[in-house]
Amino acid sequence: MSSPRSRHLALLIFALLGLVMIYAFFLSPYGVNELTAAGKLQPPSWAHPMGTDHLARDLLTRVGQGTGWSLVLALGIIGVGASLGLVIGGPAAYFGGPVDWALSRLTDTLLAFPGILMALMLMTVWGRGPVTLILALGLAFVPSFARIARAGLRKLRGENFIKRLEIMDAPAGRIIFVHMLPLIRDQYLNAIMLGLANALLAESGLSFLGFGLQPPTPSWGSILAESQAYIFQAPWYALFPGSALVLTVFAIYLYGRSWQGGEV
Amino acid sequence: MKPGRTAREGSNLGPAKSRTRLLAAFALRKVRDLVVTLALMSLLVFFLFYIIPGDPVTMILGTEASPAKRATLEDLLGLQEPAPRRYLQSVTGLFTDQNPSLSLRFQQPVRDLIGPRLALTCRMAFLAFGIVVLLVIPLGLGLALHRGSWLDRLLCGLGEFFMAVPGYFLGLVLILLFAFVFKSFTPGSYQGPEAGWGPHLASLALPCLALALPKLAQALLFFRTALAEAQDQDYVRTARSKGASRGRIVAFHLIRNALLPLVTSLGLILADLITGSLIVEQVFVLPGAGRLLLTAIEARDLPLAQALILSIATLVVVINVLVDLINAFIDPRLVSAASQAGRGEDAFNV
Amino acid sequence: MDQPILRVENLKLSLGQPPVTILHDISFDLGAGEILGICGESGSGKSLTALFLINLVPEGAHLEGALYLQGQQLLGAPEEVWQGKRGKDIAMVFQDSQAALNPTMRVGRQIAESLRIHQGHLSRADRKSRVVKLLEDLGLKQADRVAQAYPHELSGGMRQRVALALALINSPEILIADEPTTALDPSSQDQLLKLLADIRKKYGTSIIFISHDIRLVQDFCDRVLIFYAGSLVEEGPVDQVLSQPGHIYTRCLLEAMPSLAKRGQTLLEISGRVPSSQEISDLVAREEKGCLFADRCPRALALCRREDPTWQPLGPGHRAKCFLAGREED
Repeated sequence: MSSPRSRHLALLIFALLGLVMIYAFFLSPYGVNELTAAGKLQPPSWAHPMGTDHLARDLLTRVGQGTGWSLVLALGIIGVGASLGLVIGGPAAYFGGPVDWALSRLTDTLLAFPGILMALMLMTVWGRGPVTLILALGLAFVPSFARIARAGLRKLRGENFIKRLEIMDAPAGRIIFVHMLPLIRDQYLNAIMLGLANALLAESGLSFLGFGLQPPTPSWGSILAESQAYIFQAPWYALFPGSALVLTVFAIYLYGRSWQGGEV
Repeated sequence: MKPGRTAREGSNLGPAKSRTRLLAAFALRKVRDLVVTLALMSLLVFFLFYIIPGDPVTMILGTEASPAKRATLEDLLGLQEPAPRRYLQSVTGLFTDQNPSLSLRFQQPVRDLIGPRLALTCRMAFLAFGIVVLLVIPLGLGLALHRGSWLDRLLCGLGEFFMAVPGYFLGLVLILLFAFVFKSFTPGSYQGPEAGWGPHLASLALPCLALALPKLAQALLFFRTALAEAQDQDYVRTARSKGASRGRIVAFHLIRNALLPLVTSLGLILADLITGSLIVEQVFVLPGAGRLLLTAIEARDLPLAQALILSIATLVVVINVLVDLINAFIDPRLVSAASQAGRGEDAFNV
Repeated sequence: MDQPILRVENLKLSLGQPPVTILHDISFDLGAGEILGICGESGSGKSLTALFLINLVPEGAHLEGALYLQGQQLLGAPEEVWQGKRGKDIAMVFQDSQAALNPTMRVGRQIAESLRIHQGHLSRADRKSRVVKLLEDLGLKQADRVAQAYPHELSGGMRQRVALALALINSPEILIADEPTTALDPSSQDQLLKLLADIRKKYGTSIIFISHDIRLVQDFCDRVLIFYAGSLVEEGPVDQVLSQPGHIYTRCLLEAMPSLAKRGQTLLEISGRVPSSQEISDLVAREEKGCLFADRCPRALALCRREDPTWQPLGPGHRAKCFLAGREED
């Protein structure tokens, strides 16, 4: 698919999701936890475009708000991961030597733990809930961001303008974050886009296992978990939140790729 | 032409025997790194579970527990012992019969609990991996040979889409499809290996497919890019200048060079499949390591959770090392890079 | 000169969409056993001409003209015909031997691959002994061990000899060497040039030697072609062209070259830059005439900007596309 076309498709999906979210949070006649009069597990209709769930709640409202919460969680996760990644990767690239060695060993060890496993481990200790989910998955994303930051910044390390700043006795933190960081911004933003898609997948996976937002607050993963028992009676119950998840992640991939200006 | 330099040139060249030695040294280095990583990992888990929370007993039982209960648990966890001893015990307890780590909830050695469940998880992951590997190479080559055809565009579009589908949702969709369209599958019909391998593997078919498809898409897109990149290399032009046919170029020049990035990505994919199956088990109600881990976390069964997490992480790290070793066989440059570092471009001193 | 072994007639090459003409109306011959130099700045079209000679121009290139290899017209011939010619009748050595060799294949196998393709009847042992023999002939010691090595294990000079062996293994009639010495240090350059001269002496191979460095051409080639901006501007025997250059561009090239004789003098610098293929294409599209070098030429006349220069004969086999050719400096 050509770049402008994938970008347009991605933007179209984003707009659609935005509309659904606005509807769910502000316009919907049903409350997110309101037990409607339509009855349980009703198929899609004009009154309930996505049908109702096992407690007779309006699914469109829940999926729309779930989209919102899932995005909030994913943004939180990436916020934690990307900022801590810079805090670790920046000094490693700037100081090099033993600092780099120690920080690299640390990230290598952390990287050995697959993200979900790392998060499950942290949540064993911290307990479940949205804040722990953000922190745990956020930490799981730190090593990969640290690597990207280190690699990008290291290339800049030898540049003359950095040496000049050093001679002028500019503080290291200022050199790293004010002078070097803007130069890897695009690269880092790209990693953040891709990370966002992965965070959405990981978050909904953990929410599916029951580690995210606690009921009755909806997220894609938790709606999917609730729907599993009714998969044969009400297939749409699972298909709508699942499709929202797939479309969002797909759109982010597409958008990220068109941003890179061509094929990956 | 100075004789001294000629000798040096010769030593760089090394016969086949010394290349084996280099390979062995490379492998040894990798194994050493592996041991260090494993030690660090187990320390990390130990610290996280028993040291950082301060009081694991309160963490497990809560603040309301009776002193008697607390004392029993303290005893069970061996908290009177100094921390280094406890760390060693928590690691050796996974292997030894004399003083095994006990699960708090099941009151059984964790090793016995983990064994069959981890085996099931691994079986699923490896079956799915088999599907990915068997399909990605012929499909990737087909696409590379017909770049830009409608099939290429179709599969690439599908690939991009499937990359976005999480395995557990695909599992739900597959269950629906099979139940409604083929009327042949009901969830919960898992057959253990004791029911015979045929039914057992048949009952794993859908979960493996759900796991494999998204990863196949990922691997395929990756391999296609790697092949396309290899195709633009100068050595392909050299091969053409010899009069090599297209098929010969693909078979002898492209595949091996594109295999290198593919193996790396397949390693990551295998690790993803193992953790992915932890979640997919949930959809198909399979008694694998994922469900056991959830139970352990639920019950705050620290020894069991610790053992499970460590064994899965070990598996992943070992896979990474294997990938490095396989790559070393494919690309001779990797092995000699370290041992010949610093050698500049020499003149014609032969 | 006998019947030429290779003849290019009115070659025009354009690339891209919309097409940009890169090579303009190029014609030349290569005699049997001759070493022909092609000189020009980077971007003058010499490498593309080389690729054209073995039909490896980039996909989508549009070609016009004719190419006779041993009397057979091959422009537009199907790929299968070319696969039979390449590596057997006409072979090529590329500029960067590091990139041109497959990093994951032992060099011996890469050389033997040419034998497999064109002399399938040979046994494995035959192939091996031929490869080792050729490597020895090319001056590589421990040739059997070199054959077992991977490209990265060899020095630049050794790799370039391996690349040469790869081209020569089927004793082709014609060898095209595209800047084969650029990546080498000066002493290795000398050795490689001597080697090429020996090859011609030993096997009677005709060689096309492409270089941006007119000094390399000087001692080693019989005839030389001077390229400028995708056009052939001068051709002739090396001695003639170097001692009595016809085209002002050739004169400038020679004067810009440092030498002991010019010690203490300021070297000439050709001002300005080569016009891009796009610019030239635009000029041609507007039907503007004039010498492409006129803007940089220190002695350009009004005529040079008004009319396309035509070939001026300067001696046996020596001619230049310049109105000022043959006129003494006044």
